[in-house]
Amino acid sequence: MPEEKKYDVCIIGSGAGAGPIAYELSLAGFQVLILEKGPWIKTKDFTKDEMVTSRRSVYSPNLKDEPQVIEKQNLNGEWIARSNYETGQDMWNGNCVGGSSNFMSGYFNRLKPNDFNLLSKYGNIEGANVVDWPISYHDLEPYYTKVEEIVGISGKAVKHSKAEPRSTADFPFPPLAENISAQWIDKASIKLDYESLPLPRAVLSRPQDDRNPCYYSGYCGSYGCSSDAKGSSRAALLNKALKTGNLEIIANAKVFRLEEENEKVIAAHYYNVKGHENKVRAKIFVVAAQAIESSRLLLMSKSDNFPDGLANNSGRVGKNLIFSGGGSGGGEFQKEDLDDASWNQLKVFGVFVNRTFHQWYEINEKTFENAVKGGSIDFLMEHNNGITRAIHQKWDEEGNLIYGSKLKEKLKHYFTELRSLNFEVFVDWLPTDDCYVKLAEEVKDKWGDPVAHIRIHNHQRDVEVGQVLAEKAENILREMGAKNISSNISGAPPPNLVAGGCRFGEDPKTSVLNSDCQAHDIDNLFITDGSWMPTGGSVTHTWTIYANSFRVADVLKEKLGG
Amino acid sequence: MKDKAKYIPKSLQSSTKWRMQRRQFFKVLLAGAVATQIPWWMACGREVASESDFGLNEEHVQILVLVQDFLFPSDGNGPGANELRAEKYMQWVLSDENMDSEEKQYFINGLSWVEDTAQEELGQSFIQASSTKQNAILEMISKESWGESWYSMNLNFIFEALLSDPIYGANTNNKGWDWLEHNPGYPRPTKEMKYGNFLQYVNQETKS
Repeated sequence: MPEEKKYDVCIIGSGAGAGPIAYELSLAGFQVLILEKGPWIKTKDFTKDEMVTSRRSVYSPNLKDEPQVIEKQNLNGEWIARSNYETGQDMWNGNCVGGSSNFMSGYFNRLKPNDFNLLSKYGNIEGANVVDWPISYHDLEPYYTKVEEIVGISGKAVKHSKAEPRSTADFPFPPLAENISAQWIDKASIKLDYESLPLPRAVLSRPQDDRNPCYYSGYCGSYGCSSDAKGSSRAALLNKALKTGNLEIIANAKVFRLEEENEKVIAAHYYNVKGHENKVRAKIFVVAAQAIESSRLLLMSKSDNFPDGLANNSGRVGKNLIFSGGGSGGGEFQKEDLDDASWNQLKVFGVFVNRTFHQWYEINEKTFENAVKGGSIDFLMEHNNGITRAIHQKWDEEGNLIYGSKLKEKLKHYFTELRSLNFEVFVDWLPTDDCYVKLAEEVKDKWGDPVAHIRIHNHQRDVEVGQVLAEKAENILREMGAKNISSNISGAPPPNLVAGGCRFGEDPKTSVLNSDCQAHDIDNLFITDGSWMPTGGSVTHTWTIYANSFRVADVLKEKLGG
Repeated sequence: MKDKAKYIPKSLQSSTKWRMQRRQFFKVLLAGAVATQIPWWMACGREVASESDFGLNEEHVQILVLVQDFLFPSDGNGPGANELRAEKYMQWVLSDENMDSEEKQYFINGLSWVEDTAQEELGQSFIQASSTKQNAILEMISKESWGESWYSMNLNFIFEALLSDPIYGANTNNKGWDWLEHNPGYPRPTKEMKYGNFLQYVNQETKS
């Protein structure tokens, strides 16, 4: 029998937390293996087919095969747990090589220095488990810059009141082409004395190596990129790493247990595409299966040394799960209210709005006694998905169903004589004792393993802060002359913006990982998806996950003797 | 009509008035919850899918055509359900083994309940009734809670027939896209990469 290959590093998952590790280690000459639960969808296989991307769950599993249990509080305060096979509340994202980074919009903002020490800066918030991070913004800054260059971020650095320090003058790629509404936002902001900023995007505006620049397809978020302009882990990192010959990727490999011996992980056990069990050995194991599944995998990996799950002798695995708080809103511009030139410019297809607001990243409003952590706002045109937009039109203002000729008139007007400019508000989803992952022993997946039980709770502060920001965004739309302005700030979790569960920290009693994202009590286990984040910041997590993963890659190289 | 006797699947109960959830713009209630990774495909043929457990009988097909025309008529303002081949499209949807069987059954039950309502209210078959009477019955059903939920489900699939790529057998000659001046984006799906064939194709490629 041939000797079993032992890899230097085995990574479970292949998204934003995994890509930088695979890239850096394989370029440094180490043997790297990725076990990815989903299929390997290549660039040429992505099309702009709303049926595949959005109307059927092709990029995520069938909830009948792989359900999750979602537990939420009802209006009486009782906790109700139901399988999402029944409710349809799907928390899966992008199960394929490259993970959900294939389907992101790539609205990239860095965290700001205050995100690293929320507790000492703003104090304790009752009912929330806010802590300072064990690292500072300055520890991460060089890696944010590395992501700009390697993953490829387009944008323009401008001075503003909440600008985070940068070690380089500007972005390596210039801004993408913009819709006229970006200028309208800028003009309205000058009148309101607001700071309208160019929004950086993890989308190439110029070629990089084999990757082509954005071709403005009009379908970015939720869709795989057909030019490799989008900085997915797959296009920006894994494809380059594969060229070294040091990276191997096994797709359709569902890891179900990490085997531990003498406080080291010695093997990853997985089901292959046919459902057969296999295992692989490596010197170092990196878990990056997205927050919910990473916690689940540790909890499923029980052993004599770790009877409650791997790295869980503190009982902290799965705790303090977070999402991105906030909500969204928008306003409408109607053809009849605009001159022909403005209407035709607004209609230009495929170009971006790319405006963001950071001046309320800390807010000092009457609503709150003292200065509190605020958030950010991004503006974007309504998504071009046709079927989905049509579905939104089937209800009238009172929530009654419309049908027949009345519905057709509304559709025609909506699609041909109106454009909706939307915004998204991002605030911290404060970590609480009531937002966590555990194993649902009573519900099994198609392999017979217990699925994730996710209790979801949001702190009321998130909604209060979100509403302050939504008001500002509505002011901008009003100043622009938009009609039917509305917003919806709620405690609904965006499934694609999830983090926490294995927070990092100095104290092994209160955290799962040390400041290097290494398990406190298992020397060769690292977690690099968003699980390590004790608080999530008030922007999308992805840039920070990428940056931190590059930071951990340096730790691994040193550990392996690179 | 005894509304409580008309069971609405749980997955549709809470979300029939679903509107727009943040950053979930694209995962709409029904299909997002039921589709799958299992590679499988059945072409949208001309025949009634009688071999399927959820095939429609001739009466159901006739009722479906009338209901779709009521919900999305050929009224001179763009294509109606009929020109979009929405009935054939719906039969393809029902033949998709990845769709939740409870929801399929609910859809078919709705067709039977239309007939039941006509029998109760008119004492005659829905198909036999005059178009005025058919419309009156369909208006009446819209006021029932199952009726609104069921029409809502119907409309989701009519919208798919209106705006999906013609490769799925509806939106004939891009009529839906042209009417709404909708830009579908490129590249468009090929036969190998459309829903149903996609993962099988991708996984074969990975092996080779």
